Amino acid sequence: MSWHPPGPARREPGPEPIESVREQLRERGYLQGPVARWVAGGGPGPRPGWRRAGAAALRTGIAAGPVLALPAAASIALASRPHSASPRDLLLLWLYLSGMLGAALALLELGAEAALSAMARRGMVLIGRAERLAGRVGLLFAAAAVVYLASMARGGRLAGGTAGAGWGSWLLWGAILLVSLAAAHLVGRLTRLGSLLAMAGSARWDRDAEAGEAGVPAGRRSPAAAFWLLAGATAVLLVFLPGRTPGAGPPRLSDPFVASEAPGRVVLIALDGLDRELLAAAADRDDCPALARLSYESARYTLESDEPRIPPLRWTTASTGQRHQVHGVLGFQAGRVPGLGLPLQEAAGEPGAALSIRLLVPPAMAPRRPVSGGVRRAAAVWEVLARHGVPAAAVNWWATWPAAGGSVERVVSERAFTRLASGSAPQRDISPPELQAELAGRFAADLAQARGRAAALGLSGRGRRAQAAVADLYHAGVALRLAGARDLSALLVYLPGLDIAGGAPELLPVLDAAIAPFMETARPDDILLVAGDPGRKEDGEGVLLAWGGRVLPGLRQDRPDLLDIAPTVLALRGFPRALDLPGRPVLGFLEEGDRFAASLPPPIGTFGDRRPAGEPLEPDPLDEEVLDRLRSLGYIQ
Amino acid sequence: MPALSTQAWLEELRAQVDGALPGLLPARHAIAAGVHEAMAYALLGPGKRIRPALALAVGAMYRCDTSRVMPAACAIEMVHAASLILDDLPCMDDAPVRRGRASCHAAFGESTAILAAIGLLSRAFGIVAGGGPPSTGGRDWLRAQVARRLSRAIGPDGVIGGQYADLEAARDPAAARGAGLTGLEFIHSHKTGSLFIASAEVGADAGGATAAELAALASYARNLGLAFQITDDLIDATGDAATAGKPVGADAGRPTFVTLCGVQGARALASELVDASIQSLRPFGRRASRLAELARLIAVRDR
Repeated sequence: MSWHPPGPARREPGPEPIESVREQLRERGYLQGPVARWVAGGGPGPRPGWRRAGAAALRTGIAAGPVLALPAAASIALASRPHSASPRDLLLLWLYLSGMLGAALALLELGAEAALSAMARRGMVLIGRAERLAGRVGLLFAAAAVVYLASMARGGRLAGGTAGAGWGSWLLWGAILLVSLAAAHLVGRLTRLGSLLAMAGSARWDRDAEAGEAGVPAGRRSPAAAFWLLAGATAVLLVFLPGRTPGAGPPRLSDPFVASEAPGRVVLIALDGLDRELLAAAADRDDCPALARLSYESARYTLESDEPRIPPLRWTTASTGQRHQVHGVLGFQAGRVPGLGLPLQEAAGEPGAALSIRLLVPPAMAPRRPVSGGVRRAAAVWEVLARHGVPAAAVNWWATWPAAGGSVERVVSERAFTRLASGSAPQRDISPPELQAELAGRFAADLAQARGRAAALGLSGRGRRAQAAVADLYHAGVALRLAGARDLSALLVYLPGLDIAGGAPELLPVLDAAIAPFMETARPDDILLVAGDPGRKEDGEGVLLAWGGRVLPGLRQDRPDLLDIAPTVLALRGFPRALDLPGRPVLGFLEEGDRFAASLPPPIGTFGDRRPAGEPLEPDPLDEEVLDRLRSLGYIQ
Repeated sequence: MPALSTQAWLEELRAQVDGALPGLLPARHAIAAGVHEAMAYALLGPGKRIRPALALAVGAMYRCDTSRVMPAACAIEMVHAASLILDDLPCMDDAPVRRGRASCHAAFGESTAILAAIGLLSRAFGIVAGGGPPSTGGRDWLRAQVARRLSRAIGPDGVIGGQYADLEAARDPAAARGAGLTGLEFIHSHKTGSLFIASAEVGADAGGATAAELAALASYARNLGLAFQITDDLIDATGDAATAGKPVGADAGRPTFVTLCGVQGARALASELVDASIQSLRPFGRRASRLAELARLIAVRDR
């Protein structure tokens, strides 16, 4: 039997090129791959400690940064749904994060090297013990990561934010946990990183005596091959991958339909912070006659939602009829990394990803801006109506800036009040232009009137409650004026004062004053919908009230969802149900409910997509001011 | 007290091993005096004592008392001496000279040499098992671990496998050359590398090394073993018999690293392997500087 392993026919070779011999030796576990050798630097020798430490730190950062950045980039991209990252975005994000994580790890490595050098100078040779200690540090980091993530989930709060987290996406949780564990392990083993990589290049075989096996796995490649493969693939992907986000092509159009006849107007007033308990309290007060009348004369529902308790997210869900994963408004702020197509948001319901964004993308690289209509990807009720020629308006609703309405779509965005108060022209805050001019011209008078009414209700000065009251009364006044237009068919107005004031009962008379004129001026066919949401109050129940001449009053047992609001408003305007909206119209409160429902057109597939024009996050001089305001209102930190 | 130079330190280790070895040989019996003499001749003759020195150096890195590592280190030297006796036999390499004097079979006869080799092997295991003073440390599992390492280093996965492959290569040099580096590396890693690795590991065992440290040391010894053997090839191809202490040119016609990639290529590889072995010591920092120097000394030897 021949001694040599079976293989190809024997040959009589000449001397082999040295590089070929080197490569074969590397495959058998000798020598080191170029990457490992490069990272490890020189062995014990006379080189100055600071130079060796600096070089090792730099090399550690360069080698470890990309490794950690890969899951981090993936988790951020996942968290940014529905603004799905294109492969090119993912790649760029990975490169960004590689740089940042690499730099951070290099600094940590430098510190660790310095500490070990100092210890060595004092005769403290702790290599064996230090390694075990480092392993425990790694475990400590990992345990801290788990505890922190778990506490965020249970507490329903993100660090520095008010996002209701819930248990969210398990996939993301798993990914972030893995990142945390990997980071913890690497940090814990940081002083060993170079040697670990060096060992990866040379100590390839297991000499476990218990196992009784010793051998070199056949065909294993050196780390150099993997390194160059990764670099090559990155280069190829950067060159050839498309730069646009998926689905950035032409938007889906609405399926054709003919709306049925629908009498009267629909006014939806969103009262953030109003729950059943507060409504009952208001009904018992002497100074809230409109709310009391509304309570007794309306059809009353408990309004539910399992969406995260973040006002922009929930009220965009209400206005679009789509879940946050679809409409894309996830929080109060969004950031944009230069070069990336996807906006980075603090992802509600996905706290791990939010945490990774918070930690990994520094503000200087992705400046936070107030969330805006640029990131909303689902059409709101007023947009759907306007597309089909039905005049509609929105006042102070979340994610309406920049306002881009036409003659049939009137939008007073969430930044209009702040802009007008700053004395600037509301060019992109109000549409159409004639409405801009009108509101700008009347602002001083309107503001004075709102202040006067707030003061009459005992809320004056510069406190948070007084400011909230003034803003609510101003917006209610604007909405009332728009509702008075003869052709308007639907109006949505958002009043956040009660939530801003933390549910303070002092704000109830303000809401009463805001609602009363709509009830007083309502025509017999009009429907007034009042949606109350507990806002940041965690144990409250929302309410949906329907009031009007065609409404059968009384308490209803149905429990509609926020998702049902948009289909309800659309149905009340004679629009069919769209099958891509998960909610259903609530029409049971109408006297002629069944007949009216039967008169609606048959369901259609979709009312179409919304593709915001321009950049998802356009810079605006008011950004900082709006953020300050959000901070002062306690929405963000 | 000023620190010894590495060369002097190595000499001291060698002297300690030389001092310990005679006491570890079995008690002489008049009737079997021949085999006793052959064992002592093969074991106590001039030698580099690289393997026991390696075990002691690793143990010293862990601040292990020399007496704790010495028995295992000497056992490894016994295994090495036995392998040399067998290697020189007429049925194998048929080498009449070893370490500058007659080989064991030339001095005592073939049958006595075989018995001496077996005697050394069995004595090595006896020492590891705790039969000889001082013990390996008093813990049974440690003795068993060292015995397992030694058994594997000697057996078909170690020296015996390498020796068999070497003999086959000598029998059919054309086939051996056809196998190229695969065959050559098999021979060297088994015949030489396995005992180097076992030496480092028994030192680490005595020091209570972690698994990661064991892997680093194994990597060190593995690279060093191959560098050692390539240096042997270079000495055989370019050295002189007087300096080498053995006939040179004995490898002519057999595959070696010199025939595989030339003298310059072999020198470069040996140097790179030494570098790689030193790199493997990085987890130990300055504690491993003696081991690093040991690797450098091995690379520049001429005998």
